[in-house]
Amino acid sequence: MEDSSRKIRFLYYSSVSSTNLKARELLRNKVHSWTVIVAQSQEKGYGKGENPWFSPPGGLYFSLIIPEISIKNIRLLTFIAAIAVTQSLRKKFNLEAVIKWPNDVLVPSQNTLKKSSPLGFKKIAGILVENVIGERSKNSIVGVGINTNIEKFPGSLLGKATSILRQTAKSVNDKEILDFFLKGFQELFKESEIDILNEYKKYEILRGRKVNVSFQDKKISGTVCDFDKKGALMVKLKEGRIIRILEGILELV
Amino acid sequence: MRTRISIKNKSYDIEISKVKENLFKVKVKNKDYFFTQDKSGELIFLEKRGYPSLDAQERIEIVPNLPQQREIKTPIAGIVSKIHIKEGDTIKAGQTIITLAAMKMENEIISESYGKVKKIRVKKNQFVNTEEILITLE
Repeated sequence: MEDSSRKIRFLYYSSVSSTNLKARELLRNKVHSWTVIVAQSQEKGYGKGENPWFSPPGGLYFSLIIPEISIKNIRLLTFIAAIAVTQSLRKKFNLEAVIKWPNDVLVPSQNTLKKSSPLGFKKIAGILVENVIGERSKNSIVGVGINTNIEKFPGSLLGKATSILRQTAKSVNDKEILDFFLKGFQELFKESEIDILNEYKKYEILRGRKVNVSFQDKKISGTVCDFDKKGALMVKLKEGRIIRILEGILELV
Repeated sequence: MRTRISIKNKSYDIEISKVKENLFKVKVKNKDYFFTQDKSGELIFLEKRGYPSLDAQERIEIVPNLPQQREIKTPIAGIVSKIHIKEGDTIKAGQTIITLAAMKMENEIISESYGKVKKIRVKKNQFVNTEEILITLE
């Protein structure tokens, strides 16, 4: 995408309300690009639409402040982060991590007989990109939560979430995985749009699957056929028409 | 940012803020001093504005007459997930007006102009395309 000085600075906090909120607070007072805000736990970790993200000590929670990029590239940030997390999990821990469009990173459930989670996958990491956009200014924050050393999940997440510790029975060094992620992220950041999309498609699992999609008070059923070059989901309806979805709730059939 | 500075053994409590792109305000007691930056980064003093009284309950941000937009458009497509303002509100430059969701990203659209909101042109959950008008200012 674009290049700039790539020196990374780290800011560590024992606990914050959320690393994305902390990043926004820092941005108001000017902060260098490629600053990483890391917290041991988040009191109000959140995902899309303010859904809570379980953030006890033992997980890796961080937000990355991105250099200013053009509006048309902003949507690639979620993809870049998802690829970088997936590659970190694959290369460092030999996990068969995959991406569920657009921002969830999953691993196969060990016990696939229990059909408690769709497709036999459990969520291991999540990404929330937040942009503050004006006519002349653009700020982007990439928030990432990776379940690294979380031993136990609450009942509501059982069967849906897992951690590296639970998958590999080994505790992991958060800093090592963070450095690996950042290196991967910065390399992808320099790539072209088409290369990023192709890399993303290698790990994405929705293509070819039947889905129900709720969006703008409508509900449709169809099969995911591809992504368009903007990264929107292309869903083929029964009658053969293809619709593009930029935002909606996906339910696997 | 609030800070205290000393000049010639006298200390002043000052507040520095960015009003909008390339417009900075330094508040000293009940006076606002506005600055802009030239190409080399040098600060250029624009003008001074005083408030009638420090006790004024509701102070409306007074800023110099720099070019500004009457229509705030979105540079990005998405679904309106949150409207942060009401018609009749006085907004400042830099204030978040609308949050748009797209591909699980939260995009906060900020106004880089200031003024009174005349009309909000979008509704919650509505899809808006690039360059569509979100709000108009009086």
